[in-house]
Amino acid sequence: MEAYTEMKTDVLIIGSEAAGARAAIEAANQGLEVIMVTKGVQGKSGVTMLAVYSCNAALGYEDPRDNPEVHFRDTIIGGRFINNQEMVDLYTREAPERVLEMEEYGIHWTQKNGKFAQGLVPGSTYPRSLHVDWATGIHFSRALNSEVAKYPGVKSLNLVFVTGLIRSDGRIAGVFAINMVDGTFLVLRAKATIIATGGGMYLYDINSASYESTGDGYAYAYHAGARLMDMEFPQFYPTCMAYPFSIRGLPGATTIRYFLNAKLYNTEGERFMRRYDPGRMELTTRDVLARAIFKEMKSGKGSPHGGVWLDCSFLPGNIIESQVNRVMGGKWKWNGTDIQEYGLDVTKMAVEVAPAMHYFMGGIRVNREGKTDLEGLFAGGEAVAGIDGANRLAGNALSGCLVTGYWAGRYAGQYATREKLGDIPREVMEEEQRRVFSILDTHEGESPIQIRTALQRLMYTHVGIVRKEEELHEAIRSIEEMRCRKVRVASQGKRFNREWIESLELTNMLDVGELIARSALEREESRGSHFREDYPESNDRDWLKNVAVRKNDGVMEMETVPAVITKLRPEEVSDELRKND
Amino acid sequence: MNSGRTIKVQVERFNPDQDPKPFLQSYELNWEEGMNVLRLLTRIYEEVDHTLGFMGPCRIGFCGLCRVNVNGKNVMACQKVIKEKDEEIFLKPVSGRPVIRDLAVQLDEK
Repeated sequence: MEAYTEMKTDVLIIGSEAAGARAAIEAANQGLEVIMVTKGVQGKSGVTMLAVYSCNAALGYEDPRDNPEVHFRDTIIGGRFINNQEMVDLYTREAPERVLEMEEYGIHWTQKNGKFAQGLVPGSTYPRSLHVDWATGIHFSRALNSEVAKYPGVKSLNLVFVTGLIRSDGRIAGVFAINMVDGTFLVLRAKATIIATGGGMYLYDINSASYESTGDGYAYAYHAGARLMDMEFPQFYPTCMAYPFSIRGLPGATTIRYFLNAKLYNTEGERFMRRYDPGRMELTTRDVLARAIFKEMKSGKGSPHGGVWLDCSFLPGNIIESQVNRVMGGKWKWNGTDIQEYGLDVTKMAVEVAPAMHYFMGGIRVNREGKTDLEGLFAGGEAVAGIDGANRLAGNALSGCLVTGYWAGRYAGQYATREKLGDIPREVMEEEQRRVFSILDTHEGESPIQIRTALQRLMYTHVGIVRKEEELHEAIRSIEEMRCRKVRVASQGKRFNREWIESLELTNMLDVGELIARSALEREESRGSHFREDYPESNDRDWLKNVAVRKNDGVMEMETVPAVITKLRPEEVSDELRKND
Repeated sequence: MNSGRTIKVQVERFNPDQDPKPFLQSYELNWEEGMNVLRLLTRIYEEVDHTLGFMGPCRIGFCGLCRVNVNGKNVMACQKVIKEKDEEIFLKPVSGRPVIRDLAVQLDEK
């Protein structure tokens, strides 16, 4: 047996950003001790900080007609009626309070006429999005981070990688983890555990997220026996940078599509959107645009580095410049990237863009108290399913994290107040230690980096924007094959051994990949971000349902459950309205 | 994109668990258009040497975790684009912080 360090706490939170930090505040508010662990660095990890602009809350400042009911309706229409309406109802009513609290935590929302400005983003009936210029995420992270620091009861552990949840006596009793700095094994015992690990965007070759977004939380929950839901719905952002590789996946190029009416071309110079949506062309909805670009790329008409061309150079330079001055304050920075530094001059040339994996709508199934199917396990943020349905309304991510993070923190705290610490059976710990450390003693096999790269390509081509039965079966077979490949890491040392941690992340990624592929196979229709070439239409008669999955006897057990529809049914919304998002 | 040109990189490496003191290691990679230092490190880690230690999750100049000393200057690796004229790149951990491994350094604990 390896040496280990044991720590005890009331509430343990995995993940330190929007949802995790908000949960920590709420648990600590109840006078409880909290340990918050992240495999990165608190306030500087995950994707919260990458959020560009919008944080929705129906305050009605910009337009008094807006209210939580309208926000509810927009969210359900966007999510194509398979959102959990009970949760969305609560979310839209609580979002204003959660968002106003952020001002107390130190964020300075951009103002207009003495009130917080609210921008209009696609899919919303009225302007609703609070923002801090064009860098909302980083201000959001900073405010939450400084608020958490005010609570002496919250202990933050950076560079700690959770390897799995501990099941004991029918409940979750904490987590096993590795201190990445020195490679020591940690046993973190908790009365209640919260998963706030965000999405799994890094499963896809081109993504707008970070190498940290490996979907660990989904795998932890799945292995412990919790139900996940809506895993077939990852969302692509259509026009992200494809080249140079340094900035591949970053969404900045969208700026010229929105603000300069940039046009898309395939490698033959054809403005291909004419074939897909002649009415709206490049300004069509995200899903139509992503599918069109993907089809061009797949048919061999893509640009040299795996994308298509986006161009605004047909405009005179002074028009481009005046718009850059107006919209971006004269800076050629696209969301933190100075494109001129990369040799890109959009007044003279087209840029290569491609759809990038952006967000996971699905996740761990929770109730309106953030409670999962398992005793002692709660979850919040992008890691959970329910609010987004089949497609997230633009602007709902940040306020969604605050609201579901609040639920998880509040109710996990109440649970922890009632419960005692669970026992950790010695053999359970030894088994996990063997799994984790045996990789370091393996001398044959290949690097996890190789398998991860193959998985990322497979997910992008076979389980991405356009899906069909044969390809999904092929993907599942390939994932099973990848799981059998022997993994070896170059360095046996435990200190900050990134490849070793990657090998553990890889097992999570393979499971999450299979969860997505199997859920996508189950849903024999197209809805929201899920498009099946073999079932291209939405089918409200049979599919106002959620696909749920859990581990049973070591296999993925699929089931479909009716969507929670309490207020708004599709037939109550006119076709015209549905097309308009 | 690839002119057949290569780029030479020297990295100061140090694993406090096993190395008595820091040492220099050289790498040579194909030149790539618009390559920033973070991409360079990622390519070394993925293609050449899986033991290299560094951080840098955000890629857009926000998190600051990729801060590194490039040719004598502390910069964010994701914001430093390598130019054609940069014949040789010399990378050290950012000064004044304890090294975790190679270019990954300990940050202030809050």
